[in-house]
Amino acid sequence: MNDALSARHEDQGAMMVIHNGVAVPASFGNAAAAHRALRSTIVLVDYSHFGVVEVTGEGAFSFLDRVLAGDLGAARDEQALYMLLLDEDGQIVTDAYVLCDDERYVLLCEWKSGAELEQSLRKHLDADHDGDVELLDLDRQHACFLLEGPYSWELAAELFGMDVLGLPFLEFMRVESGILLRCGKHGEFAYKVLVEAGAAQASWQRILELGAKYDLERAGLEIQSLARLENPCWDPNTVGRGTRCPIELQMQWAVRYDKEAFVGREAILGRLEQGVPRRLVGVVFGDALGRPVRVGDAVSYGDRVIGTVLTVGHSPQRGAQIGQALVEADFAYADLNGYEAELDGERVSITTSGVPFIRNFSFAVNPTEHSYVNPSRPKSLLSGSKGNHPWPNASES
Amino acid sequence: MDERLASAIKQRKRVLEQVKEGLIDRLNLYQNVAQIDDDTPLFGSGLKLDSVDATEIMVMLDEVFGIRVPEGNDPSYMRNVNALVSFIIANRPNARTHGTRGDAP
Repeated sequence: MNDALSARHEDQGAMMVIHNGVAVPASFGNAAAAHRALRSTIVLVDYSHFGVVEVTGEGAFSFLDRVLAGDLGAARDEQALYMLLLDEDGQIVTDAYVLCDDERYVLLCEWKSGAELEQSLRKHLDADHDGDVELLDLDRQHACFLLEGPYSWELAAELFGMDVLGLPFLEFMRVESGILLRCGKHGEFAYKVLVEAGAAQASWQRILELGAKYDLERAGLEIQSLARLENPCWDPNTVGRGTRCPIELQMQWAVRYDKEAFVGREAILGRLEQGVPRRLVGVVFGDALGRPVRVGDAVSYGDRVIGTVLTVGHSPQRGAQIGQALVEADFAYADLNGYEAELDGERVSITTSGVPFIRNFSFAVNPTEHSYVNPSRPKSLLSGSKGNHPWPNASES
Repeated sequence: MDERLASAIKQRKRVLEQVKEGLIDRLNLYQNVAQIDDDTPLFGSGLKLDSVDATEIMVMLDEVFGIRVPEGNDPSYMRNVNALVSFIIANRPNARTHGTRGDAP
Protein backbone atom coordinates (compact mmCIF):
# COMPACT_ATOMS: atom_id res chain seq x y z
CA MET A 1 0.00 0.00 0.00
CA ASN A 2 1.35 3.41 -0.93
CA ASP A 3 0.30 5.54 2.04
CA ALA A 4 1.45 8.85 0.57
CA LEU A 5 -0.47 8.30 -2.65
CA SER A 6 -3.55 7.10 -0.76
CA ALA A 7 -3.43 10.22 1.41
CA ARG A 8 -3.17 12.35 -1.68
CA HIS A 9 -6.20 10.65 -3.23
CA GLU A 10 -8.20 11.32 -0.08
CA ASP A 11 -7.08 14.95 -0.04
CA GLN A 12 -8.40 15.19 -3.59
CA GLY A 13 -11.81 13.98 -2.44
CA ALA A 14 -11.56 10.35 -3.39
CA MET A 15 -13.83 7.79 -1.79
CA MET A 16 -11.44 4.93 -1.08
CA VAL A 17 -12.03 1.20 -1.13
CA ILE A 18 -9.89 -1.68 0.06
CA HIS A 19 -9.26 -4.09 -2.79
CA ASN A 20 -6.85 -6.99 -2.40
CA GLY A 21 -5.76 -5.34 0.84
CA VAL A 22 -4.82 -2.07 -0.86
CA ALA A 23 -6.63 1.25 -0.52
CA VAL A 24 -7.42 2.63 -3.96
CA PRO A 25 -9.93 5.23 -5.12
CA ALA A 26 -13.41 3.85 -5.71
CA SER A 27 -14.68 7.21 -6.90
CA PHE A 28 -13.66 10.80 -7.37
CA GLY A 29 -17.31 11.79 -7.64
CA ASN A 30 -17.12 12.17 -11.40
CA ALA A 31 -18.50 8.89 -12.75
CA ALA A 32 -20.22 10.31 -15.83
CA ALA A 33 -17.30 12.55 -16.81
CA ALA A 34 -14.85 9.73 -16.22
CA HIS A 35 -16.82 7.40 -18.49
CA ARG A 36 -16.95 10.05 -21.21
CA ALA A 37 -13.20 10.47 -20.88
CA LEU A 38 -12.61 6.72 -21.10
CA ARG A 39 -14.57 6.59 -24.35
CA SER A 40 -13.34 9.85 -25.89
CA THR A 41 -10.05 11.07 -24.33
CA ILE A 42 -8.12 9.51 -21.41
CA VAL A 43 -8.73 8.32 -17.87
CA LEU A 44 -6.14 7.72 -15.18
CA VAL A 45 -6.97 5.08 -12.57
CA ASP A 46 -4.93 3.93 -9.60
CA TYR A 47 -4.71 0.17 -10.15
CA SER A 48 -2.35 -0.48 -7.25
CA HIS A 49 -4.64 -3.27 -6.05
CA PHE A 50 -3.19 -5.46 -8.80
CA GLY A 51 -1.23 -8.27 -7.22
CA VAL A 52 2.31 -8.62 -8.54
CA VAL A 53 4.27 -11.87 -8.36
CA GLU A 54 7.69 -12.57 -9.81
CA VAL A 55 8.52 -16.12 -10.89
CA THR A 56 12.18 -16.96 -11.46
CA GLY A 57 14.43 -19.98 -11.60
CA GLU A 58 15.39 -22.61 -14.15
CA GLY A 59 12.00 -24.25 -13.85
CA ALA A 60 9.94 -21.06 -14.11
CA PHE A 61 8.78 -21.64 -17.67
CA SER A 62 7.89 -25.30 -17.32
CA PHE A 63 6.14 -24.65 -14.00
CA LEU A 64 3.97 -21.78 -15.24
CA ASP A 65 3.25 -23.49 -18.55
CA ARG A 66 2.07 -26.60 -16.71
CA VAL A 67 -0.11 -24.60 -14.31
CA LEU A 68 -1.68 -21.88 -16.50
CA ALA A 69 -4.22 -22.67 -19.23
CA GLY A 70 -2.66 -20.52 -21.95
CA ASP A 71 0.35 -21.12 -24.16
CA LEU A 72 3.30 -19.55 -22.39
CA GLY A 73 5.58 -20.78 -25.15
CA ALA A 74 3.97 -18.28 -27.50
CA ALA A 75 5.50 -15.34 -25.65
CA ARG A 76 8.96 -14.00 -26.27
CA ASP A 77 10.85 -11.46 -24.23
CA GLU A 78 8.95 -8.19 -23.66
CA GLN A 79 5.66 -9.80 -24.58
CA ALA A 80 2.77 -10.50 -22.25
CA LEU A 81 -0.06 -13.01 -22.31
CA TYR A 82 -3.53 -12.85 -20.85
CA MET A 83 -3.86 -16.18 -19.08
CA LEU A 84 -6.27 -18.11 -16.89
CA LEU A 85 -5.48 -20.12 -13.79
CA LEU A 86 -8.02 -22.92 -13.48
CA ASP A 87 -8.68 -25.26 -10.60
CA GLU A 88 -8.73 -29.04 -10.92
CA ASP A 89 -12.39 -28.86 -11.94
CA GLY A 90 -11.50 -26.63 -14.88
CA GLN A 91 -13.16 -23.57 -13.28
CA ILE A 92 -11.53 -20.14 -13.31
CA VAL A 93 -9.56 -19.26 -10.19
CA THR A 94 -8.31 -15.99 -11.62
CA ASP A 95 -6.97 -14.32 -14.71
CA ALA A 96 -3.58 -12.63 -14.92
CA TYR A 97 -1.23 -10.95 -17.31
CA VAL A 98 2.04 -12.83 -17.55
CA LEU A 99 4.99 -10.69 -18.62
CA CYS A 100 7.95 -12.51 -20.14
CA ASP A 101 10.81 -10.39 -18.85
CA ASP A 102 14.30 -11.69 -19.59
CA GLU A 103 15.12 -14.19 -16.83
CA ARG A 104 11.82 -13.85 -15.02
CA TYR A 105 8.05 -13.84 -15.41
CA VAL A 106 5.98 -11.12 -13.78
CA LEU A 107 2.31 -11.86 -13.10
CA LEU A 108 -0.17 -9.00 -12.74
CA CYS A 109 -3.47 -10.05 -11.21
CA GLU A 110 -6.51 -7.90 -10.72
CA TRP A 111 -8.38 -10.21 -8.38
CA LYS A 112 -5.74 -11.38 -5.91
CA SER A 113 -3.01 -9.73 -3.88
CA GLY A 114 0.52 -10.81 -4.64
CA ALA A 115 0.50 -12.98 -1.52
CA GLU A 116 -2.77 -14.65 -2.52
CA LEU A 117 -1.62 -15.25 -6.07
CA GLU A 118 1.69 -16.61 -4.84
CA GLN A 119 -0.24 -19.01 -2.60
CA SER A 120 -2.49 -20.09 -5.48
CA LEU A 121 0.56 -20.86 -7.60
CA ARG A 122 2.67 -22.38 -4.86
CA LYS A 123 0.22 -25.18 -4.17
CA HIS A 124 0.97 -26.49 -7.67
CA LEU A 125 4.71 -26.65 -7.01
CA ASP A 126 5.66 -30.30 -6.91
CA ALA A 127 8.80 -32.33 -6.50
CA ASP A 128 9.69 -31.74 -10.15
CA HIS A 129 10.16 -28.05 -9.46
CA ASP A 130 11.32 -28.16 -5.89
CA GLY A 131 14.21 -25.73 -5.65
CA ASP A 132 14.24 -24.53 -9.25
CA VAL A 133 11.29 -22.13 -9.04
CA GLU A 134 11.17 -19.00 -6.91
CA LEU A 135 7.93 -17.14 -6.25
CA LEU A 136 8.10 -13.63 -4.87
CA ASP A 137 5.27 -11.28 -3.91
CA LEU A 138 6.23 -7.82 -5.19
CA ASP A 139 3.10 -5.93 -4.11
CA ARG A 140 4.85 -3.54 -1.77
CA GLN A 141 7.47 -2.64 -4.33
CA HIS A 142 5.09 -1.25 -6.93
CA ALA A 143 2.15 0.95 -7.64
CA CYS A 144 0.16 0.39 -10.81
CA PHE A 145 -1.72 2.96 -12.85
CA LEU A 146 -4.10 2.55 -15.77
CA LEU A 147 -4.01 5.02 -18.64
CA GLU A 148 -6.93 4.25 -20.91
CA GLY A 149 -8.79 5.98 -23.70
CA PRO A 150 -8.59 6.71 -27.42
CA TYR A 151 -5.67 9.13 -26.93
CA SER A 152 -3.83 7.38 -24.08
CA TRP A 153 -1.09 6.44 -26.58
CA GLU A 154 -0.40 10.12 -27.20
CA LEU A 155 -0.04 10.98 -23.55
CA ALA A 156 2.01 7.82 -22.95
CA ALA A 157 4.37 8.87 -25.76
CA GLU A 158 4.76 12.28 -24.17
CA LEU A 159 5.48 10.69 -20.82
CA PHE A 160 7.71 7.82 -21.88
CA GLY A 161 8.99 8.54 -25.37
CA MET A 162 7.99 7.95 -28.97
CA ASP A 163 8.73 4.20 -28.77
CA VAL A 164 5.31 3.93 -27.16
CA LEU A 165 3.72 4.55 -30.55
CA GLY A 166 5.21 1.32 -31.90
CA LEU A 167 4.34 -0.78 -28.85
CA PRO A 168 2.03 -3.61 -29.96
CA PHE A 169 -0.90 -4.87 -27.89
CA LEU A 170 0.29 -7.13 -25.08
CA GLU A 171 3.90 -6.00 -25.24
CA PHE A 172 5.77 -3.95 -22.68
CA MET A 173 8.80 -1.70 -22.40
CA ARG A 174 10.97 -0.47 -19.60
CA VAL A 175 10.41 3.15 -18.68
CA GLU A 176 11.79 5.40 -16.00
CA SER A 177 10.96 3.85 -12.62
CA GLY A 178 9.06 0.94 -14.03
CA ILE A 179 7.34 -0.93 -16.84
CA LEU A 180 4.77 0.20 -19.39
CA LEU A 181 2.48 -2.62 -20.55
CA ARG A 182 0.02 -2.11 -23.36
CA CYS A 183 -3.10 -4.02 -22.39
CA GLY A 184 -6.67 -3.30 -21.52
CA LYS A 185 -10.05 -4.88 -21.04
CA HIS A 186 -12.42 -2.13 -22.11
CA GLY A 187 -11.86 -1.88 -25.85
CA GLU A 188 -9.81 1.33 -25.88
CA PHE A 189 -6.10 2.02 -26.17
CA ALA A 190 -4.79 1.21 -22.72
CA TYR A 191 -1.53 1.01 -20.80
CA LYS A 192 -0.65 -0.18 -17.36
CA VAL A 193 2.21 1.68 -15.75
CA LEU A 194 3.98 -0.38 -13.12
CA VAL A 195 5.87 2.17 -11.03
CA GLU A 196 8.35 1.72 -8.21
CA ALA A 197 6.50 2.52 -5.01
CA GLY A 198 8.81 5.37 -4.11
CA ALA A 199 8.09 7.13 -7.38
CA ALA A 200 4.32 6.56 -7.36
CA GLN A 201 3.11 9.89 -6.03
CA ALA A 202 5.37 11.96 -8.30
CA SER A 203 4.44 9.81 -11.28
CA TRP A 204 0.69 10.20 -10.60
CA GLN A 205 1.12 13.97 -10.34
CA ARG A 206 3.12 14.17 -13.57
CA ILE A 207 0.52 12.19 -15.48
CA LEU A 208 -2.22 14.48 -14.17
CA GLU A 209 -0.29 17.60 -15.16
CA LEU A 210 0.62 16.42 -18.65
CA GLY A 211 -2.82 14.92 -19.10
CA ALA A 212 -4.63 18.20 -18.54
CA LYS A 213 -4.39 19.24 -22.18
CA TYR A 214 -5.90 15.90 -23.18
CA ASP A 215 -8.87 16.57 -20.89
CA LEU A 216 -7.77 13.58 -18.84
CA GLU A 217 -10.06 12.60 -15.99
CA ARG A 218 -8.84 10.71 -12.97
CA ALA A 219 -11.24 7.94 -12.11
CA GLY A 220 -11.96 5.42 -9.39
CA LEU A 221 -12.66 1.73 -9.83
CA GLU A 222 -16.34 2.58 -10.28
CA ILE A 223 -15.49 3.32 -13.90
CA GLN A 224 -15.17 -0.40 -14.50
CA SER A 225 -18.86 -1.14 -13.93
CA LEU A 226 -20.09 0.63 -17.04
CA ALA A 227 -16.93 -0.04 -19.06
CA ARG A 228 -17.32 -3.77 -18.48
CA LEU A 229 -21.00 -3.68 -19.14
CA GLU A 230 -20.22 -2.36 -22.63
CA ASN A 231 -17.01 -4.37 -23.11
CA PRO A 232 -17.54 -7.50 -21.01
CA CYS A 233 -14.60 -9.39 -19.53
CA TRP A 234 -13.96 -11.87 -16.73
CA ASP A 235 -15.12 -10.47 -13.42
CA PRO A 236 -15.61 -12.84 -10.48
CA ASN A 237 -17.99 -10.37 -8.84
CA THR A 238 -20.44 -10.21 -11.75
CA VAL A 239 -20.45 -12.99 -14.35
CA GLY A 240 -18.29 -15.08 -12.03
CA ARG A 241 -21.24 -15.35 -9.62
CA GLY A 242 -23.10 -17.23 -12.33
CA THR A 243 -20.37 -19.46 -13.67
CA ARG A 244 -16.61 -19.87 -13.61
CA CYS A 245 -16.54 -22.27 -16.55
CA PRO A 246 -14.51 -20.87 -19.49
CA ILE A 247 -16.81 -22.66 -21.96
CA GLU A 248 -19.98 -21.17 -20.52
CA LEU A 249 -18.26 -17.78 -20.31
CA GLN A 250 -17.14 -17.94 -23.96
CA MET A 251 -13.52 -17.63 -22.85
CA GLN A 252 -12.09 -20.72 -24.49
CA TRP A 253 -9.73 -18.48 -26.47
CA ALA A 254 -7.70 -18.27 -23.26
CA VAL A 255 -7.45 -22.07 -23.00
CA ARG A 256 -4.79 -23.85 -25.01
CA TYR A 257 -6.34 -27.30 -25.38
CA ASP A 258 -3.45 -28.75 -27.37
CA LYS A 259 -1.00 -28.38 -24.51
CA GLU A 260 -0.13 -31.69 -22.92
CA ALA A 261 -0.90 -30.49 -19.44
CA PHE A 262 -2.34 -27.63 -17.43
CA VAL A 263 -4.35 -27.54 -14.25
CA GLY A 264 -7.98 -28.41 -14.99
CA ARG A 265 -7.30 -29.73 -18.51
CA GLU A 266 -9.05 -33.08 -18.14
CA ALA A 267 -12.10 -31.55 -16.48
CA ILE A 268 -12.63 -28.85 -19.08
CA LEU A 269 -12.03 -31.27 -21.94
CA GLY A 270 -14.65 -33.53 -20.40
CA ARG A 271 -17.18 -30.71 -20.23
CA LEU A 272 -16.38 -29.71 -23.79
CA GLU A 273 -17.07 -33.23 -24.99
CA GLN A 274 -20.29 -33.49 -23.00
CA GLY A 275 -21.48 -30.06 -23.98
CA VAL A 276 -22.28 -27.33 -21.48
CA PRO A 277 -25.93 -26.81 -20.48
CA ARG A 278 -25.84 -22.98 -20.68
CA ARG A 279 -23.79 -20.17 -22.08
CA LEU A 280 -23.34 -16.47 -21.46
CA VAL A 281 -24.92 -14.26 -24.09
CA GLY A 282 -25.22 -10.50 -24.49
CA VAL A 283 -28.71 -9.06 -24.07
CA VAL A 284 -30.31 -5.72 -24.90
CA PHE A 285 -33.48 -4.97 -22.97
CA GLY A 286 -36.53 -3.13 -24.21
CA ASP A 287 -38.08 -0.33 -22.20
CA ALA A 288 -39.41 -1.29 -18.81
CA LEU A 289 -42.40 0.66 -17.56
CA GLY A 290 -42.01 -0.41 -13.96
CA ARG A 291 -38.83 -1.19 -12.13
CA PRO A 292 -35.58 -1.61 -14.05
CA VAL A 293 -34.17 -5.04 -14.86
CA ARG A 294 -32.00 -6.42 -12.06
CA VAL A 295 -29.32 -9.03 -11.69
CA GLY A 296 -31.02 -12.34 -10.93
CA ASP A 297 -34.15 -11.64 -12.97
CA ALA A 298 -35.32 -14.61 -14.99
CA VAL A 299 -35.01 -14.77 -18.76
CA SER A 300 -37.98 -16.48 -20.35
CA TYR A 301 -39.10 -17.77 -23.70
CA GLY A 302 -42.84 -17.95 -23.59
CA ASP A 303 -43.70 -19.60 -20.30
CA ARG A 304 -40.36 -21.33 -20.03
CA VAL A 305 -37.54 -19.90 -17.93
CA ILE A 306 -34.36 -20.31 -19.98
CA GLY A 307 -31.82 -18.25 -18.07
CA THR A 308 -30.82 -15.60 -15.56
CA VAL A 309 -29.60 -12.02 -15.89
CA LEU A 310 -26.02 -11.75 -14.55
CA THR A 311 -25.17 -8.15 -15.43
CA VAL A 312 -27.36 -5.21 -16.34
CA GLY A 313 -27.08 -1.45 -16.62
CA HIS A 314 -27.69 1.49 -18.90
CA SER A 315 -25.21 2.12 -21.69
CA PRO A 316 -25.16 5.75 -22.81
CA GLN A 317 -23.68 4.75 -26.15
CA ARG A 318 -26.30 2.07 -26.81
CA GLY A 319 -29.04 4.19 -25.30
CA ALA A 320 -30.47 1.08 -23.72
CA GLN A 321 -30.27 -1.30 -20.81
CA ILE A 322 -27.75 -3.95 -21.72
CA GLY A 323 -26.17 -6.87 -19.92
CA GLN A 324 -25.31 -10.52 -20.03
CA ALA A 325 -27.48 -13.50 -19.22
CA LEU A 326 -26.62 -17.13 -18.60
CA VAL A 327 -29.00 -18.94 -20.92
CA GLU A 328 -29.71 -22.54 -21.87
CA ALA A 329 -27.17 -23.39 -24.56
CA ASP A 330 -29.82 -24.15 -27.21
CA PHE A 331 -31.11 -20.57 -26.90
CA ALA A 332 -27.76 -18.77 -26.40
CA TYR A 333 -27.14 -17.24 -29.81
CA ALA A 334 -26.78 -13.61 -30.87
CA ASP A 335 -29.29 -11.50 -32.78
CA LEU A 336 -32.43 -13.27 -31.61
CA ASN A 337 -35.69 -11.68 -30.55
CA GLY A 338 -38.47 -13.27 -28.60
CA TYR A 339 -37.00 -13.65 -25.14
CA GLU A 340 -38.21 -11.64 -22.15
CA ALA A 341 -37.11 -10.65 -18.68
CA GLU A 342 -39.66 -11.18 -15.94
CA LEU A 343 -39.96 -8.24 -13.54
CA ASP A 344 -42.58 -8.67 -10.85
CA GLY A 345 -45.31 -9.48 -13.33
CA GLU A 346 -44.08 -7.16 -16.08
CA ARG A 347 -42.28 -8.61 -19.08
CA VAL A 348 -39.52 -6.72 -20.87
CA SER A 349 -38.40 -7.73 -24.34
CA ILE A 350 -34.88 -8.99 -24.88
CA THR A 351 -32.75 -9.05 -28.02
CA THR A 352 -29.63 -11.15 -27.77
CA SER A 353 -26.37 -9.64 -28.93
CA GLY A 354 -22.76 -10.46 -29.57
CA VAL A 355 -20.32 -8.68 -27.29
CA PRO A 356 -18.79 -6.16 -27.02
CA PHE A 357 -21.87 -4.03 -27.30
CA ILE A 358 -20.22 -0.90 -28.65
CA ARG A 359 -17.85 0.17 -31.38
CA ASN A 360 -15.04 1.64 -29.36
CA PHE A 361 -13.87 5.04 -30.55
CA SER A 362 -10.24 3.90 -30.36
CA PHE A 363 -10.89 2.00 -33.59
CA ALA A 364 -11.33 5.37 -35.29
CA VAL A 365 -8.04 6.72 -33.96
CA ASN A 366 -4.68 5.92 -35.58
CA PRO A 367 -1.56 7.01 -33.69
CA THR A 368 0.33 7.58 -36.94
CA GLU A 369 -2.30 9.95 -38.33
CA HIS A 370 -4.32 11.51 -35.56
CA SER A 371 -3.80 13.69 -32.54
CA TYR A 372 -5.89 15.11 -29.73
CA VAL A 373 -3.61 18.10 -29.11
CA ASN A 374 -1.93 18.83 -32.45
CA PRO A 375 -4.31 21.03 -34.47
CA SER A 376 -2.49 20.24 -37.73
CA ARG A 377 -3.65 16.61 -37.54
CA PRO A 378 -7.20 15.31 -37.57
CA LYS A 379 -8.47 13.85 -34.34
CA SER A 380 -9.83 10.66 -35.85
CA LEU A 381 -11.14 8.93 -38.95
CA LEU A 382 -14.17 11.09 -38.43
CA SER A 383 -12.06 13.96 -39.73
CA GLY A 384 -13.92 17.19 -40.01
CA SER A 385 -16.15 16.23 -37.13
CA LYS A 386 -15.62 17.36 -33.58
CA GLY A 387 -13.67 14.19 -33.00
CA ASN A 388 -14.02 13.73 -29.29
CA HIS A 389 -17.27 11.79 -29.24
CA PRO A 390 -18.33 8.19 -29.66
CA TRP A 391 -19.01 6.84 -33.12
CA PRO A 392 -22.32 7.88 -34.56
CA ASN A 393 -24.75 4.97 -34.53
CA ALA A 394 -22.15 3.12 -32.51
CA SER A 395 -24.70 0.65 -31.27
CA GLU A 396 -25.30 -0.78 -34.73
CA SER A 397 -23.00 -3.65 -35.58
CA MET B 1 -39.63 -23.66 -29.71
CA ASP B 2 -41.44 -21.42 -32.16
CA GLU B 3 -40.75 -22.20 -35.80
CA ARG B 4 -39.36 -18.75 -36.61
CA LEU B 5 -37.00 -18.79 -33.64
CA ALA B 6 -35.93 -22.34 -34.45
CA SER B 7 -35.28 -21.26 -38.04
CA ALA B 8 -33.24 -18.21 -36.98
CA ILE B 9 -31.15 -20.31 -34.60
CA LYS B 10 -30.64 -22.98 -37.24
CA GLN B 11 -29.51 -20.39 -39.76
CA ARG B 12 -27.11 -18.77 -37.31
CA LYS B 13 -25.67 -22.11 -36.19
CA ARG B 14 -25.09 -23.06 -39.82
CA VAL B 15 -23.23 -19.83 -40.62
CA LEU B 16 -21.30 -19.99 -37.34
CA GLU B 17 -20.12 -23.47 -38.24
CA GLN B 18 -19.20 -22.44 -41.79
CA VAL B 19 -17.23 -19.45 -40.50
CA LYS B 20 -15.42 -21.41 -37.80
CA GLU B 21 -14.57 -24.24 -40.21
CA GLY B 22 -13.37 -21.67 -42.73
CA LEU B 23 -11.14 -19.96 -40.17
CA ILE B 24 -9.72 -23.28 -38.98
CA ASP B 25 -8.96 -24.54 -42.51
CA ARG B 26 -7.72 -21.32 -44.07
CA LEU B 27 -5.72 -20.01 -41.12
CA ASN B 28 -4.48 -23.38 -39.86
CA LEU B 29 -5.91 -22.91 -36.40
CA TYR B 30 -5.33 -25.78 -33.98
CA GLN B 31 -8.84 -25.59 -32.50
CA ASN B 32 -11.89 -27.52 -33.57
CA VAL B 33 -15.27 -25.84 -34.06
CA ALA B 34 -16.46 -26.55 -30.51
CA GLN B 35 -13.38 -24.87 -29.06
CA ILE B 36 -14.09 -21.53 -30.74
CA ASP B 37 -16.78 -19.53 -28.96
CA ASP B 38 -19.17 -17.28 -30.85
CA ASP B 39 -17.88 -14.13 -29.14
CA THR B 40 -14.20 -14.99 -29.66
CA PRO B 41 -12.26 -11.89 -30.74
CA LEU B 42 -10.40 -12.35 -34.01
CA PHE B 43 -7.52 -9.92 -33.45
CA GLY B 44 -5.44 -8.81 -30.46
CA SER B 45 -6.48 -11.41 -27.93
CA GLY B 46 -8.76 -14.26 -28.98
CA LEU B 47 -7.58 -15.97 -32.15
CA LYS B 48 -4.70 -13.48 -32.44
CA LEU B 49 -5.07 -13.03 -36.20
CA ASP B 50 -3.08 -10.48 -38.18
CA SER B 51 -3.58 -8.36 -41.29
CA VAL B 52 -2.68 -11.24 -43.63
CA ASP B 53 -5.37 -13.32 -41.94
CA ALA B 54 -7.81 -10.46 -42.43
CA THR B 55 -7.19 -10.65 -46.17
CA GLU B 56 -7.86 -14.38 -46.08
CA ILE B 57 -11.16 -13.72 -44.30
CA MET B 58 -12.14 -11.34 -47.10
CA VAL B 59 -11.33 -14.09 -49.62
CA MET B 60 -13.49 -16.49 -47.59
CA LEU B 61 -16.36 -14.00 -47.60
CA ASP B 62 -16.17 -13.83 -51.39
CA GLU B 63 -15.62 -17.53 -52.12
CA VAL B 64 -17.93 -19.06 -49.54
CA PHE B 65 -20.62 -16.44 -49.03
CA GLY B 66 -20.49 -14.38 -52.23
CA ILE B 67 -19.79 -11.16 -50.37
CA ARG B 68 -17.27 -8.72 -51.83
CA VAL B 69 -16.24 -6.11 -49.31
CA PRO B 70 -15.05 -2.81 -50.80
CA GLU B 71 -11.68 -1.50 -49.63
CA GLY B 72 -12.03 1.10 -46.93
CA ASN B 73 -15.21 -0.47 -45.61
CA ASP B 74 -15.72 -0.13 -41.89
CA PRO B 75 -13.87 -3.22 -40.58
CA SER B 76 -15.85 -3.59 -37.36
CA TYR B 77 -17.53 -6.71 -38.77
CA MET B 78 -14.23 -8.50 -38.20
CA ARG B 79 -14.10 -7.79 -34.51
CA ASN B 80 -15.19 -11.25 -33.47
CA VAL B 81 -16.84 -14.39 -34.81
CA ASN B 82 -20.36 -13.22 -33.96
CA ALA B 83 -19.84 -9.85 -35.67
CA LEU B 84 -18.58 -11.64 -38.78
CA VAL B 85 -21.56 -13.98 -38.79
CA SER B 86 -24.03 -11.12 -38.34
CA PHE B 87 -22.36 -9.32 -41.24
CA ILE B 88 -22.64 -12.40 -43.44
CA ILE B 89 -26.29 -13.02 -42.60
CA ALA B 90 -27.12 -9.38 -43.34
CA ASN B 91 -25.08 -9.08 -46.55
CA ARG B 92 -24.96 -12.34 -48.43
CA PRO B 93 -26.67 -12.17 -51.79
CA ASN B 94 -29.65 -14.29 -50.83
CA ALA B 95 -30.12 -12.55 -47.48
CA ARG B 96 -33.68 -11.71 -46.67
CA THR B 97 -34.18 -8.00 -46.15
CA HIS B 98 -36.04 -8.63 -42.92
CA GLY B 99 -37.01 -11.37 -40.56
CA THR B 100 -33.54 -12.81 -39.99
CA ARG B 101 -34.15 -12.62 -36.31
CA GLY B 102 -36.35 -15.07 -34.54
CA ASP B 103 -39.38 -13.14 -33.50
CA ALA B 104 -41.71 -13.88 -30.67
CA PRO B 105 -44.68 -16.09 -31.39
